[in-house]
Amino acid sequence: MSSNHEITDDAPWEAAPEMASNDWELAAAAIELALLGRAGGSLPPLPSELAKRIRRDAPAHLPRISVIQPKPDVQRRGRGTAARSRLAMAGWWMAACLAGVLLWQWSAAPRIAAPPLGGGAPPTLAERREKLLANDPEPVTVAWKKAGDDPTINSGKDDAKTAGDLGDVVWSQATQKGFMRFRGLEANDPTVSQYQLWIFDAQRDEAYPVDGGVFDMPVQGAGDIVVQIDPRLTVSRATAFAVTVEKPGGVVVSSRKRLPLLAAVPSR
Amino acid sequence: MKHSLFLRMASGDQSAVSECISRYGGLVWTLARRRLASREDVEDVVQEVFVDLWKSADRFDPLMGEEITFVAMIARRRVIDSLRRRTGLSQTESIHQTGVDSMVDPAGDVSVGQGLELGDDAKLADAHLGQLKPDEQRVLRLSIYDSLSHAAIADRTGLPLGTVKSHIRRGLDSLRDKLAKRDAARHGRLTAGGSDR
Repeated sequence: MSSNHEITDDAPWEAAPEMASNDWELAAAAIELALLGRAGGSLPPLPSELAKRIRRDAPAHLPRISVIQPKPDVQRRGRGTAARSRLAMAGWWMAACLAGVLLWQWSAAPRIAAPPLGGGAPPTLAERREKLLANDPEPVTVAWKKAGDDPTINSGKDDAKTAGDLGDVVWSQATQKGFMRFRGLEANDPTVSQYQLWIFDAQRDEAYPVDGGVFDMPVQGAGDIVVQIDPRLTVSRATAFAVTVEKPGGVVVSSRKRLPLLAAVPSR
Repeated sequence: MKHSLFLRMASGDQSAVSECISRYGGLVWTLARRRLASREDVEDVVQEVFVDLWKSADRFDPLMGEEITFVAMIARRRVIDSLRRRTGLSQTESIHQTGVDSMVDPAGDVSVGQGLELGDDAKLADAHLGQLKPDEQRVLRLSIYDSLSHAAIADRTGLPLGTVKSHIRRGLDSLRDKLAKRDAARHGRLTAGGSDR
């Protein structure tokens, strides 16, 4: 029997470190699975207590998207600003939308994958959104508006549930965190396309919005979808949020061919 | 459109979490138990693996492989990390009760265990192993399945260290190519072009 240091002092793919380890690790995993199959036998179940523990802890570690059941009072429960803000911002949005789209020629935003949540207690994203609204002295709350006739939006014709509410963006300038709530945004196939968030910053050239990362929409029907915003770059003052449809993994430069949603922040 | 288990988890679908634990719990448990001596270590690693899976649910790229292979890859990483952290501990006695030299199966003589649905990647890997020379097959097995170091494999097999490394490299490299070609054919495009996540 070999000693332990023999087991651990190198891994198979270290024979060729120049190779992409992910590919080799996947190949190695496939071989281990094959050899496991050759060994025969059935897999024992996970001990129930351990399974229970893992299931209990999961919400604290899941990525930044969650589905919430529709709650008419979700926005009112914060500081009572969401609905009023949406109305007040409608005019601003029209102007900012036009200006934003015309000036939108960004080219150098970094590609950032959606980050996972950290540890700690497992409040849902909807609850965290509510907490942000309740605790932040000046939360930015703006409604999503259609920025075109993109088919990814269910609103319009006969879908009453999205006719007046496509969701909104809640953003905390102080903590640089926020949440997007979506209603009626089509589910995407991540092997074909993904949604990508862009944040326009008053201190940055409008041609170079901050990349807010890519995200996916699950199948609709379960309710609103909440997605956490966690940009890698500091946003000094958000002026608008935009969602585009891009290839899997997102892009550095958007063609803006598909820009389903825009939320413009009114000037103060 | 088919949504993978990982996409469902990424969207906060709690039923997908339970399904993932149910579907892959036994596999992760087995992969950890094969190498780690104490139950405490095994439980720690299994929990770490699932935390990794939750965190990376939105990074899983179906163009890069099957879910089960992805899960096995994460599990292998965590187990190897754990072994590295625990230098000085004795190797678990439960790993190789069949003996190393009995591991080189005749090509094509595959005994798939009951209840083991290991996926197409594993089937391709199995076929790939069957096409290798006995020495190459044995080296890959000692390295990947038994986690022996290159030096230990050289010592055990009597092969030069350079030969051991080249067997491992070629074996993995060619399987990687086969998997990529299979995926490209399946998805109609090269896997490398799909995503950077």
